[in-house]
Amino acid sequence: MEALVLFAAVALGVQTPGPACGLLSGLLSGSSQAPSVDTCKVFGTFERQFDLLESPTSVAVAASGDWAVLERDRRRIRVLAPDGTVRRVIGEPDDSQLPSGTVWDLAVDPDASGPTAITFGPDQRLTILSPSRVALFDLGPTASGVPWRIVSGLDLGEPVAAAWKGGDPQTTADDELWIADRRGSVIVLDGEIALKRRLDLASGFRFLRPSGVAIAPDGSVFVADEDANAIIRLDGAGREVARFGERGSFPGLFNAPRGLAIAGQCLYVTDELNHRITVHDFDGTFRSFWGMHAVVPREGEGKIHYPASIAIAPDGMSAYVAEPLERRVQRFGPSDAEAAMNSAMPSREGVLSHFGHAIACDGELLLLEEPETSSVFLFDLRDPTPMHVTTFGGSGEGPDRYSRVRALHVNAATQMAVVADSGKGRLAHLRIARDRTKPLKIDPFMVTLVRSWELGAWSDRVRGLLPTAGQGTLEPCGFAMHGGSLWTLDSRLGVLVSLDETLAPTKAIATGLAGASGLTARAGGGFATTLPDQGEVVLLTGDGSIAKRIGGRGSAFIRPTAVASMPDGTLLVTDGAADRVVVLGADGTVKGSMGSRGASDGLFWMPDGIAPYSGASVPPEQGDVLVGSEGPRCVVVDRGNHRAQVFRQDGTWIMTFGLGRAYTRPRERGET
Amino acid sequence: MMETARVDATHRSARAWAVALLALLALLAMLAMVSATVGCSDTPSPPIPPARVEQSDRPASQAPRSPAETPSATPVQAWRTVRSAAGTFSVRWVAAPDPIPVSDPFELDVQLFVDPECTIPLTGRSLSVDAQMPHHGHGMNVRPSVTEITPGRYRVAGMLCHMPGRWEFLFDVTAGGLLERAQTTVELK
Repeated sequence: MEALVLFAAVALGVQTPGPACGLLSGLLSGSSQAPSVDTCKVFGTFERQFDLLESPTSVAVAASGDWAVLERDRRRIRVLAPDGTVRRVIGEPDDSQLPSGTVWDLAVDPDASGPTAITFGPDQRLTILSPSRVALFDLGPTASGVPWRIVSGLDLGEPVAAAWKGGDPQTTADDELWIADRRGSVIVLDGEIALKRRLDLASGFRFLRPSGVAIAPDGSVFVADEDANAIIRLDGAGREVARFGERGSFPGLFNAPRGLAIAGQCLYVTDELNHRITVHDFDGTFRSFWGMHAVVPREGEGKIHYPASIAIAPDGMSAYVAEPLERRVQRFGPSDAEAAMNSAMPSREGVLSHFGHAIACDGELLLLEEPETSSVFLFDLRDPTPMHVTTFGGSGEGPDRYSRVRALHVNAATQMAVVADSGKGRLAHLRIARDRTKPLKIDPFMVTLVRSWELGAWSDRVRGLLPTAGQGTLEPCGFAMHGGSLWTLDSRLGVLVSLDETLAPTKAIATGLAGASGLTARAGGGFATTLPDQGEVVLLTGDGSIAKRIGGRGSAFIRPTAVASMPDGTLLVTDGAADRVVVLGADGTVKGSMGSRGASDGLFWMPDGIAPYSGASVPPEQGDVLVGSEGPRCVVVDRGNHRAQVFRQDGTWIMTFGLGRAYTRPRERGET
Repeated sequence: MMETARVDATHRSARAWAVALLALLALLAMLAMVSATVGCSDTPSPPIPPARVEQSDRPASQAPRSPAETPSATPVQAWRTVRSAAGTFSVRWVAAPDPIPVSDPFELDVQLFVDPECTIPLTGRSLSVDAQMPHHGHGMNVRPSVTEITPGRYRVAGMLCHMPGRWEFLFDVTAGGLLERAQTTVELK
């Protein structure tokens, strides 16, 4: 048995702080169970780490102590014992060699995106949510692997977290399933999985981006609103009774709160962009936090990096924290609160190049987004390596401050930039006062705001052109110059919009590509975009009709998030789940790929944005392994490695850079 | 009679000198105003008398003072004009007190115009005003209040620049969900 456990642990990439065999044996023989949680605990003691999970976005713990993790990029759920033994796999089989007979079918999931959230119900059945479906699995020893119940045809938006409310395991009469829908609502289903209530704008609620939900013992419900940087407390009837939190890095403030968990009378919040877990009373009073920001990518063993979900074991002795960007779950044990906070002050060194998804490059200008500070960096490309010359934006209330930048555009000829901020719902037009005749220098006054649209009003203008564009606020997810005009694609409904010089809509086309990410103008005419959840790249004609869909399940793509068109028509597509850039011909034929998973130069960890690179050439130098920059180049956001890299179109690595650093000779493996 | 007549003549002469002096001062004041009003060719409206800011946590000595009360203030307020970045409106503004004090509250009298010459008032918009120090990465520590006094004319109370240096004054004008900005640099010593 020990061998089997160790085998499973190795297959999962489990890391333990001590000798694995001894610890696993101890756990197998039955660890002592602590009494139930009745006071606020801080879980600052690192216990173990479960690696090699593919985008673990949701974690849940059953009353038995077994826990489950959703690997979103692999469309599967693993159910594990506390010691890491894999008990079940629901969905796609594991790539590694798990013991046979543990894989259950997910039972024909109609949603292209696959499961998006999991939770355990009062009856201890595992609840698996997709945008249009809820499936409940019985995990008991005699379970057959067939879902106990499946309800399809639901409209759950983008359900990213859920929690059951209800008490009596013998009946579902009073049960409620509360769901955080990231598209702006909280949905309540009854015990029969029928819609009971929807809390959204139409019903008088203003949620920006609900990303977490938890039920308190008294029946009140907590909802984490990621864009509002707030936690909302609702009473049992769904009325808002309290709200706390605002944006900041000081302990007690939030920067993108996501997952919630409750133990005893305390609320635990994964504070994603502050890289920590915070602990609060139910009235919102800050109690403590734990988690030191991991500075070096892949650094774990207690250090936390972009935590998305948290679950606390019913015995109150451990907390599971899911970190999708690091592809791992860490388990923590109780610790002294003061000691946890004292050891959790983040280092400022090496954490300045948290480049996000949004990127734009034209001529000698390059824009890169930084989600942690909601800033945009402007690089001057007149030299062989990019020079950071100014930073604009930052968090705050003004119209020149940002929350969640979704897309960028820059035009070197007119020296203007466009920022689409989904968090604050704004579309901003900026002027870049750059004088290339003068020497390079940092200039904090270089970028100024010209105008800024409220996306709600802008969406109304779009609906004036396209009445079928539906209700709600559209979300520009990419920009492209086509036919002399600037175009943007909305990710919410898939509306393609052309813009005038004031960014006002002049033409709107329904493409039906809801969930799109990124936009590029193809060299031969038309556009290209990606559908990450469907694993597809879509080619569109100039009039917005779909010319070709490339990919889908089992194809070259797992989660394509951005696409760039090169001068010869080649399309380069970043696939964050596959850690590579896929090269497509102008007709969409797969030609090859560049990169693979890793930290060395030329390798990626969840690459995201991509753009053609138009900077100065790197001159050949004696001794360089790779020199020159002949031919088209691209710049790729290597998000998980906190850097950007420049490649030739043929995949040859040219340069790695971040803020204040750039090099054109490859470094030793593992250096970043 | 003669003595009375001499006295009257002396009085008349003194009054004439006083009138001449006042006229000269008025002329100088007008010249100063015209020279300060760059881009706007019309005669600016008299500034709105500053209102006192109710700040119970500040001593009375730190409340905004009118130009006459400010020892270092120039006798004539200097109107300044800035065109919006998109070129769709003009902002004419004056501070009270002027020069703007460092670390003391002050007010702005702001007028919006459609044209660069500041002859056609821009009305039906909402205005917000802020000040930032991009070199230092911060703005003001207070949030000013904006009150529309007459259509297109606003009193901005509660401004406070807490350190000397280069400040950027931001005038954001919004209508129909579209915000446009006029921005100008102010050096505080």
